[in-house]
Amino acid sequence: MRLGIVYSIPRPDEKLLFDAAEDLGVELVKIHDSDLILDVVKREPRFDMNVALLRTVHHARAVPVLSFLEAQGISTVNSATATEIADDKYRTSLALAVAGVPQPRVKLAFTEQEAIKAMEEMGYPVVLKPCHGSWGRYISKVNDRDAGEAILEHKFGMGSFHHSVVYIQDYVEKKGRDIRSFVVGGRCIAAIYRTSEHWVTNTARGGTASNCPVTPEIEKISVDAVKAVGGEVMAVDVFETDAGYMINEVNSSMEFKNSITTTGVKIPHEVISYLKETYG
Amino acid sequence: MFLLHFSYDGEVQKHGDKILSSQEGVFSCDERCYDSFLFGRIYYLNTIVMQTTCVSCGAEITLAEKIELGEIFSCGDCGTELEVRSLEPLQIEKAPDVGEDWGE
Repeated sequence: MRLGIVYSIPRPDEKLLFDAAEDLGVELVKIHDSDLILDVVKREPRFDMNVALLRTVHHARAVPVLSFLEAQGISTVNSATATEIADDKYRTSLALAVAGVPQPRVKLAFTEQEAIKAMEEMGYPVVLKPCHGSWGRYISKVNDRDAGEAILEHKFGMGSFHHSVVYIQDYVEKKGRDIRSFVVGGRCIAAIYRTSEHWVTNTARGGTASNCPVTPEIEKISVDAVKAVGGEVMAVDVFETDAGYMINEVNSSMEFKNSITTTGVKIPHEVISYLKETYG
Repeated sequence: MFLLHFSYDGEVQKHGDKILSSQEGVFSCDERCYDSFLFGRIYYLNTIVMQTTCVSCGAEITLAEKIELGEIFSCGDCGTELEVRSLEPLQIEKAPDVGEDWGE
């Protein structure tokens, strides 16, 4: 079993995966994405591995590298298609809708005028997110029309075309916490509560983690969400609402370093074991 | 630059044209030459570390052997974030700023 791990920076998460591979007797091929030059026509460099796990920190590099490996006949986790969907909040929402997985209302608009119209229809507060954002950056809670107009003006003035597509999500009152669950090969192996006084609960933004028992309901919605985007190893953000659980986001390259001690689950070992059993 | 932290109980205390006088200490060489690090009798290599200088302030930096390609660390003197861009030979550069597309 030869496992490729594509990475940019060996963060604690990647080092834990390297160690887990060693513990489980998996031969590791480390691919540092910054050093890659992909000869597209020759499809070189050639890689010799059963499966590649993508751990790049750069969203912009994920799909190009995955699709290149797939063009060599190498299995990838997650696949280029699943990663492309999960890394795009709009496409994730659409995939969830098609699969009938509960989620807050979402609208997409392309101009400031139509975005305001959509927000007025949905009712305030709403949340604006970049479709390709990460670590909770540039997400905005809009409490009224005045704030919406100001934020939209700034978004469209930022110059990046990414901010000219307006993803609008119903604001969900989280009561200070949400759930981050970890899905590996069709199983929800662990979950944490992320608690924060701020409405953004990402641990990358200061949210604190505590163990969340995986109930059958949490397992089902998490696994359904990952299945909807075609993923295998992904993390899912789940809202607890009065109407039941809802999916907020699906993450293609999960960060888990803060969740191993919290949950008592050896997440990196679970990931490597799954890859070994499935692709070994 | 690599540093070999060593100890030995042999009598021959030589590596290349270097004569080592103590029975334990730090020995430097330009490449990973520990395979030929022979002292005629028994020796023990303890740890291997790599040494370089900060590209920003020039301070001497010692890195552990197990450092990975792409690893980011801070210079202890000036605090500049540095990235390992090559292991053999060891090359470091100023680390990239966090990109808008970074993270999950």
